[in-house]
Amino acid sequence: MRGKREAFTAEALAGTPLSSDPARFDEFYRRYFLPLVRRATWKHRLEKEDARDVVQEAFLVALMKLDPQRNPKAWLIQVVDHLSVNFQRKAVRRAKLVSKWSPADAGMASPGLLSEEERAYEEGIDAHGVDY
Amino acid sequence: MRTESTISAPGGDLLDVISDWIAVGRRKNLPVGGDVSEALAAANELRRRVRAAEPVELDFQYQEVAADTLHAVCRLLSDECLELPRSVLEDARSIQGLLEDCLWSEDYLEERESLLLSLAFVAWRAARLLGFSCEAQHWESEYKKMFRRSLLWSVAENVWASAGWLNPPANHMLSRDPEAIFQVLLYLQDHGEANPQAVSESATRIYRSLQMDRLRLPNDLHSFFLGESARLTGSVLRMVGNPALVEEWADLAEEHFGSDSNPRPSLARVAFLRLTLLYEKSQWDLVPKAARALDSSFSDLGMEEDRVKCRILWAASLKLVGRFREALEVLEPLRRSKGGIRPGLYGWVLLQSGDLHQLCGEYSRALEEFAEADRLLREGKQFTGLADVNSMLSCVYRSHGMLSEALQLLKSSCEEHAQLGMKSLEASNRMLIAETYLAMGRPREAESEIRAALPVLEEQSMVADAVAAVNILREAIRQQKAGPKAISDIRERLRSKN
Repeated sequence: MRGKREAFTAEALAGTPLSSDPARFDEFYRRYFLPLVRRATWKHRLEKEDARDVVQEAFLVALMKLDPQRNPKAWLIQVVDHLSVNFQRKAVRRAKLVSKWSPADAGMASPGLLSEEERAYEEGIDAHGVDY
Repeated sequence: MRTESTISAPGGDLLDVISDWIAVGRRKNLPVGGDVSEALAAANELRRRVRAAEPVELDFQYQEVAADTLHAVCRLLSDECLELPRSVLEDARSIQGLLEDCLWSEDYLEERESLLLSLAFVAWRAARLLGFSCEAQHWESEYKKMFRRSLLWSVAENVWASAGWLNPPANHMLSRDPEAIFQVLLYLQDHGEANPQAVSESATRIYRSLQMDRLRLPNDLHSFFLGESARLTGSVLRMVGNPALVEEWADLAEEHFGSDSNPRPSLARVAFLRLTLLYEKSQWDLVPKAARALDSSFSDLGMEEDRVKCRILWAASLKLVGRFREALEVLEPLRRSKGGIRPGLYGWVLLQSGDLHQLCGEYSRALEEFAEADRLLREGKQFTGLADVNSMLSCVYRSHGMLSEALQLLKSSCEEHAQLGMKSLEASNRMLIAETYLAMGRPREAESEIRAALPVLEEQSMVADAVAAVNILREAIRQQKAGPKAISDIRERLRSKN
C-alpha cells in the first residue's frame, strides 16, 4: 500500500490566500476535501476526477448557501450527495442522447429520448431544483 | 498527535477557509487519493488475509489509503451479497470488528462511522438472505444505534428540514442507494412521534415510488422496503386516527412481507400494528392475550425495541380495563433493563408507569415519573407522548381538587394533540376538559367542549367515548336547567352512525 501523501508545499500555494498558512490548507484537504471525494466516489460510484469536480462545486454552493446556524458538516455531505446524484443523472441523459444520435442507430431512433414517465420525472427534478 | 486547530464547525470559520480554498483549488489539479481499481485489489487482499487469519496490514495512520480500501470492501460486499451471502456475512462481521478496534484520527466527517454503518447494512442484508432472523435483528439494532448518534442522522434531519423526501431530487437520490432508503425509513420511524402527518405523507410517497419501480432495487430488498414503507404509513396514520386506512396499509405490508426472504420479524411487526389498532378501537380486553404471545415472539427473534413497545401497549390496555397492578408487573422488566432502552422510548415506559401509580393513589411517585418522562420524551422529540404527559398529570391535580391547574394542563394537551393531527386524543381531552368544567360549576363551557368533540367521536367510531360524552352533555344541560332535546338529538345522530 502507498505511503502518506506529501503535504502541500508553500510553493504550491504561492500567491494564494492560504500561502501564509499551508498547514491550514492541508488540514482542510484532509478533513473535508478527501473524505467528500471518497463519499462521491464510493457511495455514488463516480470516477475520482468527477468526484473532485462535484466536491469543488459543493464548496461553491456552500459559499452561497451555507447557513452557519445549521450543522455545516451534515450540510456539506447532503450537498455532495445531491450533486453526485445529479451528476449521474446527467451522465445517463447524455449517454441516451449519444446512443440515439450515433450513426449506427440514427435510423432506428425512437421518437423520444426518454419514456413519458421518465421525461415527467426529469422535468420534475429540473423544475424543482435543489433546496438546501 | 496533531492539535485541534483552525478549521472548526460551526460554519463561520469554515466558510472563510472554503473561500480561500476555492481561490486555490480552482487553479490546482488537486490529488484525489488512490486509484479505484487499486483500492478494489487491496480490498480483496484484505478479505483474503482476514479469512486466512493472517496479520492485516491496514495502516490507519495513513487513513487516506485505508479509507479507500475499506470503501472498496463495502462495495465488493454489497455487489456480492445476493450471490454469496454466507461469505459476505462472514467478511462483514470480521471487518466490522477490525474497524471497530481501530483508532481513526481527525475523522471530521465521521467516515469511520459511515463505513461501520455500511458494513452493518450489508451484514443485515446477508443475514436476511440466509434466513438468520436473530442475526439480522442484531445487525438492524446495531445499525439503528449507530445511525441515531451519527452525523448521517443530521444529514437525514437536514434533508427532512429542507424538503422532506417528497421532492423529485431527494427521491432520485434514494433510487441509487438501498442503504439510503433504509436510513430514510429508520429516520421516519423515529420521527413519526414528532410529526405524524408529514411522516405519513413521506412514507406513502416512498411506497408509491417503490411500487412504480422508480427506486430500482435488488429483489431481496424490494419486497422488504415495500412492506416496511406500508407498515410505517399504517403506524403513523393510526396516530392521526384513520383506522380503516391503517387496516389497508397493514394488509399491504403483510402481502409484501409474505414474499420477503425473511418474513418472520416483519410480520411480527405488522401483528403489533394490528394490536395497536385494537387498542385504538377501545377493544382493550383483547390486547393482553395477544400481546403476551407477541412479546414472546419478539423475545425469540431478539427484537428488543419492539418488545418494549409491545409491553407498553400491553400495560396501557390492562390499565384501561382496570387491572392496574398487572399492568405495573408488565412494565417491571422494562424498568429493570432501563439502561438498554433508548431514552425516548423509556419516556413512554415512565409515562404509563406514572399514570398507573396515580391511578393507584401513589401520587408522589407518579409525579416523579411524569417529570422524568417529560424530560426524556422532550429530548427524544416524542411529541405525541409529551402531549399525553399534561393530560395524565392533570388527573393528579384533579384528584387533589386543583381544578384550575388541571384545566390548564388539559387545554395545553388538547392543543398539542390538535397540532399533531391526533384527532381522537384531542376529542378525549375535550371530554376531560368538559368533565373538569362540570366539576367547576361551568356547565355552559362543558357543553361547548362536548359539542366540539362529538363529530370526531362519530368519525372515529369511538362508541364507548361517545356514550360517555352524551352523559357528560346530559349533566351539563341538567346543570343549565335546559331541555333534554339537545341530548336526544345527538343520541339519535350517534345511533344512526354506529
